[in-house]
Amino acid sequence: MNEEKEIKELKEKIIEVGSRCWNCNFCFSACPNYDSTRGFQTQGPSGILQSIYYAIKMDKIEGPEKESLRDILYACTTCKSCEITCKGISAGVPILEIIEAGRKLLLEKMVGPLSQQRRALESIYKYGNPYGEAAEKRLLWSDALKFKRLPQEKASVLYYVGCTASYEPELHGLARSIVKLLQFLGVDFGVLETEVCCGDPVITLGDEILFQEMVEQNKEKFKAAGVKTIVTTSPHCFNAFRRKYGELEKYFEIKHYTEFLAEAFKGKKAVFKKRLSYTVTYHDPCYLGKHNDIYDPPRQLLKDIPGIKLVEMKMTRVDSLCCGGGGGRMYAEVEEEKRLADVRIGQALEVGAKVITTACPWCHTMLQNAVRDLKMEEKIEVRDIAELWVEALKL
Amino acid sequence: MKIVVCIKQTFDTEAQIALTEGGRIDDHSVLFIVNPCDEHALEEGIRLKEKKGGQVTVVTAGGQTAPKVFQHCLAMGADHAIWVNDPNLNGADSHSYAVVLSRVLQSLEYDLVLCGRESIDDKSSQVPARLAELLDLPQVNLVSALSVDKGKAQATRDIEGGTEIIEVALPAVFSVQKGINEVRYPSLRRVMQAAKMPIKTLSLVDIGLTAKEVVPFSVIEKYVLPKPRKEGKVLSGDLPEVISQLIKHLQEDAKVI
Amino acid sequence: MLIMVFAEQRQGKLRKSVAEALSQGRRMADTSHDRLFVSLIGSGITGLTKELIKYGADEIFFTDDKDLSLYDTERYASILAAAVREIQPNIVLFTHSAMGKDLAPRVAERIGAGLASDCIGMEVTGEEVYFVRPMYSGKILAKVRITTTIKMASLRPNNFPVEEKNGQGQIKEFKVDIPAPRAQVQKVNLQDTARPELTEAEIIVSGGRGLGNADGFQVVAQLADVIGAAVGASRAAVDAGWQTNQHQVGLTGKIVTPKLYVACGISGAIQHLAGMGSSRCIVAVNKDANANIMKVADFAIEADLYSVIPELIKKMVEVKNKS
Repeated sequence: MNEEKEIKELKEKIIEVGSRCWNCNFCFSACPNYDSTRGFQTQGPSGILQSIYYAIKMDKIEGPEKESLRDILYACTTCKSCEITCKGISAGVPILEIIEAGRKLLLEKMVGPLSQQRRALESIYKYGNPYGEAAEKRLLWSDALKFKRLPQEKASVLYYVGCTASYEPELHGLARSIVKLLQFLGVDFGVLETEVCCGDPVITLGDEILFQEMVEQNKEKFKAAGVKTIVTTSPHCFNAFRRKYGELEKYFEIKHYTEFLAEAFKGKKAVFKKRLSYTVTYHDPCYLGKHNDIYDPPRQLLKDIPGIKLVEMKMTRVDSLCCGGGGGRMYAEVEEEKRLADVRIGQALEVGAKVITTACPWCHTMLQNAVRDLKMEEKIEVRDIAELWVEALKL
Repeated sequence: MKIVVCIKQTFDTEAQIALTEGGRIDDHSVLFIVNPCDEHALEEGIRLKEKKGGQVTVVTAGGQTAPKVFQHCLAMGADHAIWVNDPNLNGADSHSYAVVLSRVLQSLEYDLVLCGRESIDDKSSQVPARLAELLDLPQVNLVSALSVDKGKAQATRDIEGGTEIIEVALPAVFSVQKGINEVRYPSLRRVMQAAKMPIKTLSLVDIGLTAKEVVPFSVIEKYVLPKPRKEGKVLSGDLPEVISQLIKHLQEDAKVI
Repeated sequence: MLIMVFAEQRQGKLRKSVAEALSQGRRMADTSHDRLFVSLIGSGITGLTKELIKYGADEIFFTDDKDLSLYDTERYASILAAAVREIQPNIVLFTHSAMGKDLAPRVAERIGAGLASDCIGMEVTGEEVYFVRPMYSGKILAKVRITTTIKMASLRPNNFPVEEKNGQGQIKEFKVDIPAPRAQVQKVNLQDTARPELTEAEIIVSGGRGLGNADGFQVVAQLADVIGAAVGASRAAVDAGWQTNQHQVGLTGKIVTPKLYVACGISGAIQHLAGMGSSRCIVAVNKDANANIMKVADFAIEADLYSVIPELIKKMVEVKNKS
């Protein structure tokens, strides 16, 4: 916990890793942030990297330009397109590691995060969710649905709902759909009575110790629940559990709900009661696709529904366009010339989709807001995969 | 520069407000935080310290959550913390707090005193002015911008429909608005380390005050829940219909236009 | 009960809500068969006495000096405190404005008086007065009893009815030494706008996140101008940089109590409701039928504000032209 040592290590890491950058600028063509802003060098991956790199070298972290530095570093959505490109055709710099380290550094120095994000962090610390909502209200989404509450009761699967699906009224339908599908499958599952944030926004914004605090709390709860499998609504929680919680996968099977359902329905003939004659396109969430290579199970689930015609947008799978919600940008307004989610809706309309489906609460929210802002409610709908299944099965 | 920031511990505004059986505010499960405007005052003090060098002292009176709340202040960058804790402060009002704070300040050296413009629970907005009066200092309230140079301060004060630029020689008392700055976020690491910093705790006797001197000038006789609003109407139909319905209601029922 | 009202004025104009304080003072004086006095401080202000008498002033103590043309805490406080000490009223009333918030507590401490700020009501039972004021973001009302001999209160604008009732109208000059200023006003920047000031406006049209962008406020302003309203904004709109925080209505912005509050594209977060929840009539226009504000509104319209507001503007112009 020695702050001096931590800061020194963070700086050394950024310098060491950052110096591997060849300045080839190939990453710029992949970066959604760069594409949607005014095209300044500092708005692209290598530009962000060099900003923090030189700020350290020239000892300007806390200087008069610290607010610009903060804005540069916190604009990234952490979609990973840059890293994938760099690995594919250039030096293979783990750019997101630098951004994460840079944010930890700025946060320790109280230069970051953005002021609106501060509230999200304080809320996670006080109430276990970034929305400033009372912890007591976390299960209100379930309404009249009955399911096991862990750890009082025991089950083999934990459905980890996540903060957004729990507290955002528009996402309650998604959580309820997942529950109905689990019940339909006869899965022995339960939900935590006192679920708290997975901590993903915390580590994204750079508070290492608060993140460790959330990890400890969650590990305790998972242990007490005595489950074998954890199924998440959000790819962000999924990613955090898989990659940032130490060796959680040694003790629990960790699945995103699309993976879990695709496996559970394989070989079973789901008796669909309603034909959904929709032309749908699937928006790959960055944290499911690019970060965890899960592209096919969601598509399989869609193709299974009778009547669905699946079309692909021009930027799909590993080339998917980020919705703009990751990297802490759900909690703060960042200047953009064109909103990423608006562009994405445009891409969906281009291929004739009447429904754009996704498998992430943040993508859902960003895309839904875009449809409203563009006044396209008559032309396209945002639906989550679980909701479509529930509709087709008439649950 | 020696800067003193006066802090109040307040309810978290997200909290549900309930009355106990005795008709008092039920605060047993409520989180206490630094009053938001006071946080901005502290941030302003720390920024002045960073610019001009010096020390920031936070002071609070009463309440039981001062240690936790001070942890946050010290993590942000305050250097010293003083808590006046005394059972005779139960039922303290703005006058009582002002008396206590003025007595503490009389024992300190300072160039300026910063407060938040009002507390989010009480919203009386009296302490800064009462404090300035007791210290016989000039006051500037509702400050949305502040700069200090050569023993003088220039403050922008919000008034209805605009602002005033005021110049005053230090020392002086300022109460600040939320919009004056963006408060910094101290990492949990900083907050935990701040727990190790000492807090000076004083009783009334320690600052030479008797219970009589802090008797409040006002007493809350009763709390009542406000009358609930009447149920509203949802206007539906096609647009021209809805608009004429609305205008009719506003003219005839509500009589507001 | 002898009542005294501090008649706030700036640049030779009385603050609009002074009439409310005078009317309240007049009613309280009448109930106890006593008088209403007024303290008037400024420069070139003797012409304002007519209006003070119209709302019930029996005696007006004025201090008119060119050094008092701009408000200064310590100068005004020293004059008012001296007047209060000499007259010994039972109750002193202020308006809860920027000046009121600055002056009342200073004077209160100087003369050793309790002060109930931001009152929305008063209950008189015999000799005792209870001051009613909101606390905890308006979730609760407190009935305050002041224990000092002289009691002071500042009144929230738009909460006390105005009644015209002529007072005896004696005008007396109050001469007193004016101290040298320590804090000096260098400059006053007033926004050049014909629109009413937010906290005193009878009608407010407010815009929120649902506007989608800064330009949305043009529509809000258009409606405001047609119905003579002030323009307000939610915190989301201010945070997004679409409006300055002078326009922010809410717990950490301004508390308003207009006759009519029109909320355009505002979801009605608790913070915002705390700022406008006591408006007499609330109209909400929002695409989301489940937004909090729709439950609080007297008239809720579930529609796109960009369809509704322009139509409303058109109809209101027609209504105005007819009358």
